[in-house]
Amino acid sequence: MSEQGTGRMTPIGLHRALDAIWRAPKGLAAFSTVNHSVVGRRFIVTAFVFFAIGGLMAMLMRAQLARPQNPFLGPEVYNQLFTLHGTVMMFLFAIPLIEGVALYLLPKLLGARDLAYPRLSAFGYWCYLFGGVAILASFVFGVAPDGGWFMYVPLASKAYSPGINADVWLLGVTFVEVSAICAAVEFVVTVLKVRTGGMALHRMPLMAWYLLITAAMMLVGFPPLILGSVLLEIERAFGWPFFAPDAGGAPLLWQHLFWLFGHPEVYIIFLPAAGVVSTLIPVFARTRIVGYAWIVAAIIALAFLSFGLWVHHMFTTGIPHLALAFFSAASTLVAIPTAVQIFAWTATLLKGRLHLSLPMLYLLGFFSVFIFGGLTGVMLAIVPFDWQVHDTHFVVAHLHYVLIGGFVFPMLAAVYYWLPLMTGRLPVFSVSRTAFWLIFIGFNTTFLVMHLTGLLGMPRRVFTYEAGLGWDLPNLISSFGGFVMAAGFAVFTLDLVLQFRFGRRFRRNPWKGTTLDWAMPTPAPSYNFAALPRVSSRDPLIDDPDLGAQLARGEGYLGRVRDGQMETLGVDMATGEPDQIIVLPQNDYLPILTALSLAIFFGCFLFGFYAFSPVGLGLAAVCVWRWLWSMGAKNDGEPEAAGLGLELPLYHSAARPPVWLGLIYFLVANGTFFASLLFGYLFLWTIAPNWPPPRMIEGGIGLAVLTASGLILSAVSAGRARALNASARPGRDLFQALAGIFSVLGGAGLVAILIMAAPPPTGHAYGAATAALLGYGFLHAGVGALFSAYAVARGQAGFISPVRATDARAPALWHAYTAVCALAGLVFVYGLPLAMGGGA
Amino acid sequence: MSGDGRFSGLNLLWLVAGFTVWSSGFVLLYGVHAIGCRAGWPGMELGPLTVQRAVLLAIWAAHLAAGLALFVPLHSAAKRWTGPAGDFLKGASALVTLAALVSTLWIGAPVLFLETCR
Repeated sequence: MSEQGTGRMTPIGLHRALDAIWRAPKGLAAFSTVNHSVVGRRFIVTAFVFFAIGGLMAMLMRAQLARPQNPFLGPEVYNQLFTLHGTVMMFLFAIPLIEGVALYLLPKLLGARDLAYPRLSAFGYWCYLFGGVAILASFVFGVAPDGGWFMYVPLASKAYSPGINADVWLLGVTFVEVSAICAAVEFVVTVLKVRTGGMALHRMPLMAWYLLITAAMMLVGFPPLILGSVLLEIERAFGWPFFAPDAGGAPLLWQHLFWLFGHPEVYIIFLPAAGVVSTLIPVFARTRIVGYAWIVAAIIALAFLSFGLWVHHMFTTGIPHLALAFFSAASTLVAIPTAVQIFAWTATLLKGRLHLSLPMLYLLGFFSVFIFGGLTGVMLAIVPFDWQVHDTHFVVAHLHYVLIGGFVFPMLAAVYYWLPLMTGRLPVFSVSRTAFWLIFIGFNTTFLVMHLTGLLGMPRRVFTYEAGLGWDLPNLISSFGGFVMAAGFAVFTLDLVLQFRFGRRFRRNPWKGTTLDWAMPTPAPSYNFAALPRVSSRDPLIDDPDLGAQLARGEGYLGRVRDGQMETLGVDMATGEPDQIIVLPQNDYLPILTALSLAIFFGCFLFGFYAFSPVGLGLAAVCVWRWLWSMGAKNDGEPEAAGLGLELPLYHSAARPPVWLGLIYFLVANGTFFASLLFGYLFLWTIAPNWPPPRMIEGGIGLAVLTASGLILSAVSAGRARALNASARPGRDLFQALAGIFSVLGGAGLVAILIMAAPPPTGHAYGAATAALLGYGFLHAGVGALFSAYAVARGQAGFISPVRATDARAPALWHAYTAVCALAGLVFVYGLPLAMGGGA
Repeated sequence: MSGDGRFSGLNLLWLVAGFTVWSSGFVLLYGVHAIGCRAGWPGMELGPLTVQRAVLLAIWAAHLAAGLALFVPLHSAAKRWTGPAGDFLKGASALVTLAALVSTLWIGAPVLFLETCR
């Protein structure tokens, strides 16, 4: 082992040694980059490019609506524009921008050198890019989605959207959502596990709390949308009528699945922005945040409550009043945790002395716009009012006040606050302030009057209107304001370019920030910290303003280079005490290759080459196999010196390595997907028209018992393999192989039930939903078999020991999950016909 | 060891326990309400109530009781949380659990007086 470190190297020497192993490669090799700063920047830049495109689309729409009977755009193009504008802003701008900011900032805030899974971040970026480009390219070819950003059925069904427009949305958005799920797992594990020493829960920067809770919401919020998209795409491709009412399907099921995602999505967007506010206000008030624990409690409450609001988008769909009241009550409740945060921010401002710098200016814009949007939100939460303005421009105005006020203004503040960390330069102030006022005035001119347009009855999503309805002048004002706002964003872009080129250089911490992101040189080096700090408060730079210089000298944890490895600390989730050294992967082409494999899968589906789509999945499986294989070690190794007198095991020999936690959180997302499927199944039984179905499942009870037994035996065998490994007894690989075999048999049993006992999936929604449940179990049994095969191969190759146990534990967890889901699925398939009438 | 107290990461689940009960109540109220409407429970009487309202009230009451009862094990667990990290966890968990209880009270209240299936 070779080690270079404290006492032997100057700060410059240490910088050079670390940079040599952490810096991103140039040229074609840049496609292999996994460094979080680079991937984060790519996300951010790409998101802003999509934002500019979405903004241009908005300008085209505003030009069209500027006067009545305007011949500028036809209805077909207008439909594509409003659909793409919403889709781009929500899926290709807002969420990816959050991902990019979190990717870039989280390790810096947490005192780490990178995220838990750098390759997963890179993979997520490529999925986002490929999916986003596909969605936008469809506009160029005139086949862009045109059914609204929420793609309601039956409009988006094959009968009414026969082209590939809707498929572009369903497949493109799902591809992009793969990226979001990856990011969510990444952020949860990183915040909980990849922090610096001493950073206990109560010392985490609030931004980390916000991002942790946002990521957890993404894990639970996105799977219903992915499920809905998968079901609708299957309906369109193969005729399984999940949403077709004449065959027992329910259009309302789509709305439920969409808004189960869609409303939490608003808070998924808002919370990180609120994190920015909670971070910046104490800095510019020159004090510490008031009510830290209250804010944490408020965002947890907000996260849960936001999942109880989805039906407030469906108040006019004929749902009984009592059910509406549940959602109306929850909708009013969210104002309270939001208010708790606003009061905490206000109290912090009052406690300190406000320094009105540029980021703070944007935050004041946020306050005024978002509070106004929040108030109209409370109005819309009241059912009778919502009925009056549903689908009018009032709702358009409200959502823009919430999203631009609650997200865009804080994110612009974030850009100005953290851009110097990237560039090492400060903005050119006069231009920045001009940009702010143009955006602020333009925004309010556009959308304030739009409330009136809505109250006057103008519906959303109409490409033109008659003169003399009272809508002419408000529309003209809105269009004028829209162009002023666009000019503001153009000036903002110019300002960023000027900052990169002519901005004033500074040495360290220009805003007097108190968190670890400012305890590093600027521009931030590729490795973030030459040594990782030991923190003892929430504001380490208040405690020790000289901390950055100490870290640059290598005074802290891991202040050295060992064997050219990329290292960071893993800690106990609650106390922040270091418990392992995480060795991170080097640059790798596997992320982009895996994303390309998925692109083949989605592309084949899009163009109807269904038979070839498994090729993409197969290639992806090969990539994932190689990806996983590259981790771990063939010997337990000794604890390594981690600095500050501490010796720690390497990650593969630790009790809770990040990959283990990642699997758990992936299963949380997966479990939500399955729960949504069960919800859909039950919903169809209870709500959909044309039930009971003409034919239900017939016989096969014995087969179902055998199938369930096979999957239980699979879980038991994998559990036995894990136990044998833990106690270093022989037979581990044998039981692992048995687990794989039982898994294959269980999967075959599910297919046999589908073929022999279940009705065809194309005749009625019952058959389709039954096939979906059984198919879910089959897919998981298949993956489980692969998982066991992989574990056997790893065991034979010497990667598994009682200490290095993750490869033995992971299949056991997977098989247990599969068995539980398959059992639940079989209970639904065989039990519901008995319970609801009809008989099996 | 920094004196921050030593407790398992599983203790973090106390931060979400209260609202997990709330979520269960919310989902059951909404789901059972739909099932009851389909099954004709509003037409079946159970003493002074309809079966539909009685079932919904029972769900609501059970979740209120569960939300309230959570404070007992939370209090016991919190005694073992020491140091500043423990104090933070105690305070935040108590706040969230209380907020969840009040939220359960609020969202279920319409069961008391609204028509159930119209």
